[in-house]
Amino acid sequence: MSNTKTYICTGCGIGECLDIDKLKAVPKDHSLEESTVHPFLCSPEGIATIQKDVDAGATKVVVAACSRRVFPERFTFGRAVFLDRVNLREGVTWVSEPNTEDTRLLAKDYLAMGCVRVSKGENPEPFIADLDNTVLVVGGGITGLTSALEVSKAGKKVVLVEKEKELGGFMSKMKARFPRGDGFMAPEDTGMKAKIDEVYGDKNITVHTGTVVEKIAGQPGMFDVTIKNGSSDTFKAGTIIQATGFKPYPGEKLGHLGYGSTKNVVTNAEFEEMAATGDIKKPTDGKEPKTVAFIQCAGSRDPEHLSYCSEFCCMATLKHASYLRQQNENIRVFIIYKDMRTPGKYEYFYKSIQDDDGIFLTRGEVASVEAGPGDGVSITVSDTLLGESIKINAEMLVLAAGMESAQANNEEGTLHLDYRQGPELPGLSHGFPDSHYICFPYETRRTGIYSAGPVRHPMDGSASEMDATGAALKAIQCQELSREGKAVHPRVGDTGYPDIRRDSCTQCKRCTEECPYSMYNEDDKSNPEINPLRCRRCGICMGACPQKIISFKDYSIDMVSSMLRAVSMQDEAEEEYKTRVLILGCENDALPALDMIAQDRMTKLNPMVRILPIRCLGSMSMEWLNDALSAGYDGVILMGCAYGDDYQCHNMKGSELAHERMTKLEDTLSRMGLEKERLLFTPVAINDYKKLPGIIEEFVKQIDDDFGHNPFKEFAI
Amino acid sequence: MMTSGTTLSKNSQSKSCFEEKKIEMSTVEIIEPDFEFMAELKRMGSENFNKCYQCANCTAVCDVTPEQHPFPRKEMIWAQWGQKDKLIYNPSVWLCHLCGDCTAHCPRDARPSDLMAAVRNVSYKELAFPAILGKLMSKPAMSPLFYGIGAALLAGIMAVWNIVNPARHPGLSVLWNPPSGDVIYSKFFSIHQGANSVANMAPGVKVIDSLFLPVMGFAISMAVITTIKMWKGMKAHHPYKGAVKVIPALIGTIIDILTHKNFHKCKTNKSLGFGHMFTLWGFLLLFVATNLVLVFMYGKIWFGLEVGGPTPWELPHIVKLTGYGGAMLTLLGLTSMILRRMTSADKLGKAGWTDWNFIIAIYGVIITGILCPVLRIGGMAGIAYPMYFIHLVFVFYLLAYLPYSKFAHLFYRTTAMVFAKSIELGSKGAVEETAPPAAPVEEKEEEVAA
Repeated sequence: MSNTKTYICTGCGIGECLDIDKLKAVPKDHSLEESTVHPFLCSPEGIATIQKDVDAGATKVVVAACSRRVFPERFTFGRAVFLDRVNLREGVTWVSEPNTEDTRLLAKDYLAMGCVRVSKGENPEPFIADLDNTVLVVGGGITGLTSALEVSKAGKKVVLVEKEKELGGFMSKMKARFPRGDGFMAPEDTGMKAKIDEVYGDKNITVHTGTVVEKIAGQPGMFDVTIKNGSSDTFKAGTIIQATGFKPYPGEKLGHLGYGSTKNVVTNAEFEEMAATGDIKKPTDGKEPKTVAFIQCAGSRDPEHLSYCSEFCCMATLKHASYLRQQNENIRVFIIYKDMRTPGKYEYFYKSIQDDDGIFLTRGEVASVEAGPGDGVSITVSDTLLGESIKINAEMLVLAAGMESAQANNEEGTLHLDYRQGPELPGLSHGFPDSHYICFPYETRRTGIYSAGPVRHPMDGSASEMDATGAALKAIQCQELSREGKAVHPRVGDTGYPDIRRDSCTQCKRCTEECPYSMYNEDDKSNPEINPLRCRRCGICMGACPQKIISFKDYSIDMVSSMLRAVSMQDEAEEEYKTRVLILGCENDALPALDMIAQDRMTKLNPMVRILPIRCLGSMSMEWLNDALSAGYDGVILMGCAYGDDYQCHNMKGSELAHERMTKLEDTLSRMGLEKERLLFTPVAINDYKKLPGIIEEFVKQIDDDFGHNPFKEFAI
Repeated sequence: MMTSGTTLSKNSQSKSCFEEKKIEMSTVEIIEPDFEFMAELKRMGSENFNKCYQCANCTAVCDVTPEQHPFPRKEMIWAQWGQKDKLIYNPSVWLCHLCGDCTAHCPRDARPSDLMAAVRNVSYKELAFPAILGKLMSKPAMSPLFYGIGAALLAGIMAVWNIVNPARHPGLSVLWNPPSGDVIYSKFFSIHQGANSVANMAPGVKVIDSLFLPVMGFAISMAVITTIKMWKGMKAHHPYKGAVKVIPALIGTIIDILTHKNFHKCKTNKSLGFGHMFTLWGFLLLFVATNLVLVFMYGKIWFGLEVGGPTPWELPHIVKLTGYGGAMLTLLGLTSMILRRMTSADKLGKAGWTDWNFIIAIYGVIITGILCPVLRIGGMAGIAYPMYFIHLVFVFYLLAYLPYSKFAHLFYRTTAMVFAKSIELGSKGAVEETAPPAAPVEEKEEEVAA
């Protein structure tokens, strides 16, 4: 008996759409037994049918039913069984005319591809090693302290490293923090002293102040951390939380708003420091100011400075206004803003400030800041809510400046990773280290290292505490998954990792350079060295390797090449060539988008296309394009996530790399005498899924009308 | 090779806060909030203006506001920034009818109509010349004094006429020693002789006129001075500097006032418009009645015309018809407005002293004015004559202090409406005048076509 079993479900309309008797014979073409047909395969009885065969020794299973995104947990039969799902429901039945020849061929081809896939793969053996449980927290401000406490509460050990002599960071130097409870009406005590005491009193937490990280080598669960406080010390850590905070945008760069040139102009950070140590006084004469003006967005949302909104400055100014009004109710405060942003319940605090007679608020654009009467400041504001340009004379001006990531433009560095792709987390938008803001906001591009707090995104104290808690969760989760050799986002739980035939390596370094996660290190001879626990299983290295020596046990160049070759190029009578278009579709966005079209059941897809799901578009090997064209496909569509500044690629650069590789194929195409228009790159956002049928239809039509059949078809058969 | 589908455009970045703007620096005003004014507004009934966050729902729902320079959104921030002159010399405050539509739709409970009312209250207090009178009138404690002044002047003038001609003018003793016979109020000022006629009434009316004509002269002069001041102030503070068309605006305004065209646009307090309209018409009828008396009397004295017939007039005499009709209409209108205000203070705002002071005076005039003929016909001489005296004291209070009480809205609102309308007409005219003539363009096109 063969160890490969195939099953066809006839539920959900599949049985009514397809000639099941013909279809169940397809595995015979691949030297397999005829398929088992079941009316309701996802039912307990259906699952039991498969389980019975598994118990009897089946190690490879093809389930031809619904999309693999439906009930993945039901169709799981342990590591011993390598399983493929053939998408007869969303891929055929729900998007095709029932009982036509083209629909039959579509189902037949997909089932054939499934049979080929299981024959070419097996389940990977996970990488299992003795891993360390400690979480290293870099930075002892409110974020780092919170992370440390949260990790400790989960029963894990923490090593907290702070470069300053004292714990507490910026928050502990503040007079008060933003309101949290009591109707969000008044600034509150920072509570940092209690938090610091709690950390010092926690047995799970080891604190190193006045200490910096000198070097971090290794991978999740087995990081070697070297810290330095006079002398160096090395220890093991499992995962790392980077909580190095922010830098206030420097007043020196705000000369256009009077800083440096005009007396009594300070930044909000300087103002906060002043407030924490006593009453607010004018820098020139040490007297209490009678009028204080605030300019919001000082250097923020300004392409010449920080082009983003730092989210906290509006609240900071409102808080500062309340300091002044508490200090002396005769102090008048003027606030000039572009937009007042007080998200969520902070709105209540904003309202309480609006209710104060001594605080004057207007929207406006600052036109000039110059010296005013006495040692004061004169601010001209246009486009105000008062309906005209106004001039405000104040004795003191506070510039509400934003925050930069502590990591941005930081030459000293904080993590000093011993990684092929550099010592720090890659700074993305505006220098903030981030991985995929929309889909997995806590991830970074370095597996097992999580950034939290304003180092990764501008945020206030409360948001930092939440962020710190999230990072603590991710740090622990990564340890737990790593212990079982499993991947974190986006292929959570995948136990595979790249296998390299080193003897054929030419040391071209493409894999070590293109891996978005810096999984590879290089040895002295520039050979790639694998760190399996850093790997996110995207397969970009596989697509990058010109020698085609990188593969996964369950995903390889040969596997996909064989699958795409299993497709019919003629009608059943073998009298007529059929147009065939291959879609290499990214499993993250393209595949769900195609499933959504099917689940709408409103649109038919052109039956000439064959969809082949691949991990990330970045895993696409040029070999597949060559093979597809020489196998007789008339066109190929690469369907992946949008890339660029607002990329949606789950592996950041995958779709961009695929597009680049496709472009490089131009010469090959002209050698083969094929039109370059036979290849199409289509970025797809999940919310644009409704556009896909039209794009596909148009492409197939253009192939048919303008270019005709691929001349290689006849050689292929 | 092709790229299709969606491409994400880069977010357009916000403009620099320091972008070059053409601002005439010399014309930019230094903003200095008037804190005392802000406190005054709160005392005068607008406690919530600080809450406004400038969403402009108020302006959007207001059916009375003009398209250009609409209110009350801008008034709210002027109040928040203590911009006294901008508010005081602002026609919008008077174009508003305090119907409360804005307050009903305010998401922040900032109560814009309260602010409009408060600014008006401050205007009554501070705008009229001389300002000291307005200030004193705004104090409830001063009210007895002002009534006392009226009573004293009335008593004084009676005493003076008594000295001049004791035979005809009995003086104050009438109040405690009423003359015998039918109650005839001309006996109040002169001993009745001969047949009842307009001519016999004349000496008594002269006594009243000798007080009331100078008082009216004073009130109207002060009102005119204040109106000119207000007009100049509005011109100085209004952004529109073009031509104005006063005469057509005045005609339009009078029509608007008589029909209450704008007042009827208010939704939240619809009945208020009718209440106010009845009150206004009632006052107009009373005004007509008063003037008819003058016409009849002086017509007889100066021209020997016998138009009024013998006094005391009884219904359906035209003076009585208009007088009683006016009193009834005013009573009806005013009472409906007061009831509306008392039952929906949340929508209309609480009535303050400025309101009550005015209401008490009108009620005083109307109630005593109705009681006078009732007591007269009832022959209750002992109460009738003092009631007539009290009636005259209320009338004095209403007329003499007109520019300093809420009654002043009569000319403040009229002035503001004329101002706004003349600007509206003026700016429309300007647009028409600057529009290029169309004909030459067409000719050119024809030439090209040819």
